[in-house]
Amino acid sequence: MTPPPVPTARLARRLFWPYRGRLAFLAVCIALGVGSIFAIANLVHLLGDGLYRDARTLMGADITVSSWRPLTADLEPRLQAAAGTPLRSVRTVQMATMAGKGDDPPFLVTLQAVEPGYPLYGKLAPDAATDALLFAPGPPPILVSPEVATQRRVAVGDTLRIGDTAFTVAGQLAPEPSGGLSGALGFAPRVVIPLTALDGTGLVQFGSRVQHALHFALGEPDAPEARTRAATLEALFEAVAGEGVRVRTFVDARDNTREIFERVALFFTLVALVTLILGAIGVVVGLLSFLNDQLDAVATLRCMGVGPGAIRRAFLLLFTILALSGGAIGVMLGLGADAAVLSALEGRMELEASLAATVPALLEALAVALGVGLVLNLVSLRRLGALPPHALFGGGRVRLRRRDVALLGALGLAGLSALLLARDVSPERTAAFTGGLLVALLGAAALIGLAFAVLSWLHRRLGGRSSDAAALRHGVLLVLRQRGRSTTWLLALGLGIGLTGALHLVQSSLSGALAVGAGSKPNVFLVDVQSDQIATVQRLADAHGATETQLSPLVRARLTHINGAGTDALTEQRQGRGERARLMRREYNLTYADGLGPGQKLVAGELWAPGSDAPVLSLEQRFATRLGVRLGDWLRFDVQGRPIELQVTSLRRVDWLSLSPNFFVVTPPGVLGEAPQTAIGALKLDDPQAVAAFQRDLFAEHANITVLDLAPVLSQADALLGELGRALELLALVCAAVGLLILWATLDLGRGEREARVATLRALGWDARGLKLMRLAEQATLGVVAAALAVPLALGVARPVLTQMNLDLAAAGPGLVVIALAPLLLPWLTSVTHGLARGRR
Amino acid sequence: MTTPASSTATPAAAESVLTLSAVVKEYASGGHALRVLDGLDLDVREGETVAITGASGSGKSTLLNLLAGLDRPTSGSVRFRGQPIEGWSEDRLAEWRRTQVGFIFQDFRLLPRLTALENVALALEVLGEPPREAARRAAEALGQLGLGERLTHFPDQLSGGERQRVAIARAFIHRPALVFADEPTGNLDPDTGARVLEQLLAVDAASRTTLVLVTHDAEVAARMGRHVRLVRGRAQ
Repeated sequence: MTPPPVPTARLARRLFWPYRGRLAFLAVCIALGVGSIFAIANLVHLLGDGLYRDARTLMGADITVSSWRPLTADLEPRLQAAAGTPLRSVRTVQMATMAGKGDDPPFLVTLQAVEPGYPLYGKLAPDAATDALLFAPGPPPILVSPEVATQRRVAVGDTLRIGDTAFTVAGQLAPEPSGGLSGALGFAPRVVIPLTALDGTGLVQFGSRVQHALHFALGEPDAPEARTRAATLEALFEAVAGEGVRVRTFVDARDNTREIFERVALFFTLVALVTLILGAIGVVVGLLSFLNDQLDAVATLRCMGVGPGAIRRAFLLLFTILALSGGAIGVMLGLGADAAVLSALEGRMELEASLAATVPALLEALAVALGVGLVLNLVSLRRLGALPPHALFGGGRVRLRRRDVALLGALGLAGLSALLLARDVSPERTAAFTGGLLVALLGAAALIGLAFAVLSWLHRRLGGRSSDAAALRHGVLLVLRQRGRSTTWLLALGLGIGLTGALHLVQSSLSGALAVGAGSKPNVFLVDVQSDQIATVQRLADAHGATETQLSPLVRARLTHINGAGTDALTEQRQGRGERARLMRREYNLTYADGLGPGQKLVAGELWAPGSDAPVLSLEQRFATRLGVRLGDWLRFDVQGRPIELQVTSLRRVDWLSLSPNFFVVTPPGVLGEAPQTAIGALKLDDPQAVAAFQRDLFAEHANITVLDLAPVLSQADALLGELGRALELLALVCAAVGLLILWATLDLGRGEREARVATLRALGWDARGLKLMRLAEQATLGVVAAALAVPLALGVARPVLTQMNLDLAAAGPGLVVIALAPLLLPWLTSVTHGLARGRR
Repeated sequence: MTTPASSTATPAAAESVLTLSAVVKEYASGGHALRVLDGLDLDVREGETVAITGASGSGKSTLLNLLAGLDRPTSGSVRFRGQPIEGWSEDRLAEWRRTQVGFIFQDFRLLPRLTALENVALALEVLGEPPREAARRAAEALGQLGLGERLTHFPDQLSGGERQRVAIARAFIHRPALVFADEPTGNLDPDTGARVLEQLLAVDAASRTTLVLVTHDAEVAARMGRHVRLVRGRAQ
């Protein structure tokens, strides 16, 4: 009679339940890894959606089509047809013009005439009632920006004359924290009138420089569907390609915020990866230890007639339960972390994001958890499948083989690559990251091999006949003789502390860069400075105690050719779709300089000699990448009717948060020096009264120059980014604590054997001093080698990540000292705490 | 299980349980084949107790592996009740061991995180016996071996002799046709070893199970019904 199959659940319970403590550690490691991945992915999705909503609120639309010529009547129907779905739309007209209050000198404003319904998202004024005043019956109303109100002392009820019309000030517009910098509406302060009142001003005449715009909303603000939005945007771009109209989307808005968000998101991703790898270290060490315990049991069971199929099913059941429970705990931990972050940001950020578990993040967490379970299962079964039951006879003992560990590593790297690719990281970056990790692992293995050779040499030369010398020799010998365990320790310590250290280095550099308003960054900006006014500006700035004064020439130009091929043709041939096509169509502000300004760093090629007139240019690195241009390529610009052909000879990295006047394109002075130009400026004035006095004096001499006082905005941004910096610091600390906890548990490996050894040596007559010295020698040896792994790893990871963030490594000295000391101190702390725990038991 | 004091004698007319015919076993070693068993013939009969002895490296453990279906011969045949087991699949062999074979190891091989009772009951549970019934029978078997007070003790809380008695109970609990014992007293002091051997033989006699015991102890071998000495891979 055939016996019934071995009951899987019962066998699994008998085999694994006694190891529930160790398995719980594995589940916790999985939970930490999955939790970090989920928390970060979810947070990025939540904040990303918030940023999206915020960006289009600032622009008032999802997409704006504008032109310096009146828009043709058929444009809107064509665009509606191209979108394939009815879109809300509204028209505006804007121009730079002069406004005057009573007998005060007139001043430059950006006049925006709008139809009812504008903006399509958000409000013009802080409240809807003020918005409604713009279209109320009565004398023509006008809404003015806070800059106009404060700088020109304009109050509600005052009369402001623009062209032939006297407008009554109905209220103030809502402030735009960084709108002035992003250039959404030009640099001059904004005033808004009803479109119906525009004709009465008499400003729109033949030859007037007037921008006509048509704004569209793609959908309901609370139901953003990225794929649909992107497809609709692309359709609209295609519909107007080559018509000489400018198309601007919410994606282009708030470049500064986007840059901050991208850096923070990259840091979040790094935190997630580091925690994942720390969790993986815990999982690997826990698994190795667990499997080594299981091998004997499984071999015994094989002798008892439990077949490989039954063993496989029991392990599959175990790892499925572990993966799912670890994943579920991880998601809950992640949600808790997200709730804490959102709560910390509440009221401090303009972004609105409410706690939710986003579907992509949940799917990713599930995939990671099941992937980990599958890898654990594969490796376990591979080893157990090859287990020879007869190895038990004669006292044989089975151990995990090196190729199993290699398989574990290979599967881990493959999983990591899949995760990065799923996160839309480019294949090149993914390959660079996983390749870098592989190189780091191989390098670590080589370094450990070298360390063993050196230790072996050292051990042979450790002389002395005292008991202390014998204890030290024995400590070093233990490291050498327990090679497998020492290697596990070293890799866990070196990788764990190195990666946590890298996180610290990145966090401190990022937090430093986020301190926008701190230090000596400019807070006053000057627009529309004519060449012959520069000397006056400089003189007045000096007179009012300004520092960091920078005035940069500004030359308007259009990109017409790349390497001899016309940009219009390139766009029409559909070689430059999407962002590249948009970059080819836009108008550029070029500048010229002898050298690099503040916040700029040369990253490729060479800069020209001072005073040069060579036909060359320098591009901002990321702009060059987006435009698809490399060193040696030729660009032709149309500088107000005159073509100029320039070769790209250098690439610069620009810190846009430096708040200095920065440009995508810079040429030598000799190339653009004679072109028609204006200048923009930035300077720092500490005292608000000095700012007001500087504005008054400058206005008295040159009324055309617009002065933007960004001190209040910078102060607000500084407070916000300070909070963000502290949040990043907290995140890095939490990650470090998690890492230390996992390492602490990892270092517990082999405690039983250590205790047995101590007992044996005590029986052989070793005293407490000798045992301490032996342990000290063992720990110090391992610590020094682990430090030699951790420090280069921390630098090797931090540098490329910071390069991706467009940042430099901040002073790393203290951080590196901590990273170097941690591997020495952690094993000692571990033995102390384990000793205390044992004492309590 | 009862515990009579004397050893068993070989029933003359009993059927063959295990038959080895011209068994050769070679291992690759340093680029050439190392012949451990060299045309070995052996016939083990129902209820027989057989001692296998020999010097270190004579092939005792290899022979035990082949008899238990844990390894396959290079040539020759191993038959269980006339059926060649070397051609069986891994699953078929596992099923055979689960139902027909018991093992006793020199170093006990008890699962360290299971109690004495659980270790013994496991042999029944893998046969589909309900846990409660398995525990009842395991407790009974351990009680007969004098371990009634040690049911909930873990292996590291038991003495060497007690551990081996738990292993004996585990080997016999499912009433196998064959029990293989690999140096069952090798890790025990002489007095304890002698007591454990007495209990092993008593349990075996009571169950009339065929016992194949590998040992290098002549006194232990003398207690078996038959003594096979391995010399250079052949039986003498």
